[in-house]
Amino acid sequence: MVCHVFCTSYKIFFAHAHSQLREMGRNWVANQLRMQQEMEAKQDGGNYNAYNHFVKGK
Amino acid sequence: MEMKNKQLNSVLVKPSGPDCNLGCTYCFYLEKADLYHQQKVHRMDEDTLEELILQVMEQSGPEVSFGWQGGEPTLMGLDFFRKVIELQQKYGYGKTVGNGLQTNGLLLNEEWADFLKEYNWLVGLSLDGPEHIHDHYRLTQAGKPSWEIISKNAKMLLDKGVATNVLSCLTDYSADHIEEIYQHHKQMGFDFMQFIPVVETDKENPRQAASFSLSPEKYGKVLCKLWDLWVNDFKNGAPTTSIRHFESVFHTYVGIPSPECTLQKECGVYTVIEHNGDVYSCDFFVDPKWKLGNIKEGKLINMLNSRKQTQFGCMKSKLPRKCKSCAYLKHCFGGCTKDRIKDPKDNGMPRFLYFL
Repeated sequence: MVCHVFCTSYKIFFAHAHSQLREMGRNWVANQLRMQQEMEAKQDGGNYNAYNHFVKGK
Repeated sequence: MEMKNKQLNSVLVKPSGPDCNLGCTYCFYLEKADLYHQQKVHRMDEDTLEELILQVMEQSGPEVSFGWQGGEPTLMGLDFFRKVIELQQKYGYGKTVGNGLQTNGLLLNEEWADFLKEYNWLVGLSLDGPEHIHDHYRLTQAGKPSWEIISKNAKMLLDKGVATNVLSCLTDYSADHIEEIYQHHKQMGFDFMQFIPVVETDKENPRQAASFSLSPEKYGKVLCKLWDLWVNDFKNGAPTTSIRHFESVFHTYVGIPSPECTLQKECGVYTVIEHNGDVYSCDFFVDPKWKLGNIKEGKLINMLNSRKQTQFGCMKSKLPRKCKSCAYLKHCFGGCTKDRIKDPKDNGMPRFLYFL
């Protein structure tokens, strides 16, 4: 049986910061996707990729 | 068990072994001098340095980093590091090379700073905070305070534009002053901060933690407070300071493996090279059990991919059932192997029974 010295501290921290971290993570991923779509739009001459946008729901 | 070959991307080198001009109460590395007790002074010679750099350059990918650490690596003198650059250029083969110097800052001067700036080195400066915190445990070998000269040298590095990351050890004492430490670092102009929790066994009684060690509860509170300070400083949703641990954890929230080995599923992705060329699994496991060989007798890449190093890396993923059902497992993966304790009823020697 092995225990982790910092298990308690990590749990205290995650109980405090998990929801903020999750929200920040979601925002970051959404931003990355938006930037990617903007890049694609520039490459396509101003149109979003319709298949990704409407069919795949991205 | 992961069998894919690991690339040689980084090495941690200890050119002056465990030798140091400070005698910090909590240092875990000073006692490594016992492993090399034949010599009083430990210094990497030029042949060993050349063999090391030749091997790393030949066996690494297109980008490779050298971490120069100790002990105190500046004890080698600046000419040693000029030789490092000369050899990296000689055997570079067009590769991109990064150098990091982890130092207590005591011996730095303008000549050092100019060199570090010229070759784009990243300096990790050990500074625990304002004077009363830093000098609580970070004393010279003669027991004298070190804050004044180190904070002066820190300013000199920052003024000269040397990329500098401040590293602070968190102890039973400093943990009570985390806001003061954070504000101190910000006021000094440090944008990059790293905090390391100190947990060591008591030398008199190895079944319990040393008095300066941080308790899990205290460390938990420190992380929460630091998190709030960090987030409160955000501008337009982005951090204004960098705290390594939080950024490493953040990776795990966007599906990217954390760059910090303690938060990865398995470890053993780098090796440590001692002053005489001996190679070990990890900085915290410089121990005969985890000696992988010597660079004069074998190839670093083979040691990195050896059965012993793979076994070392896999040790991290062997977790108790409680861990496996934890909601936060994918964000910490059980932390660092060195911070684990064995049940006293188990075969191994128990560590930190105090916490059980």
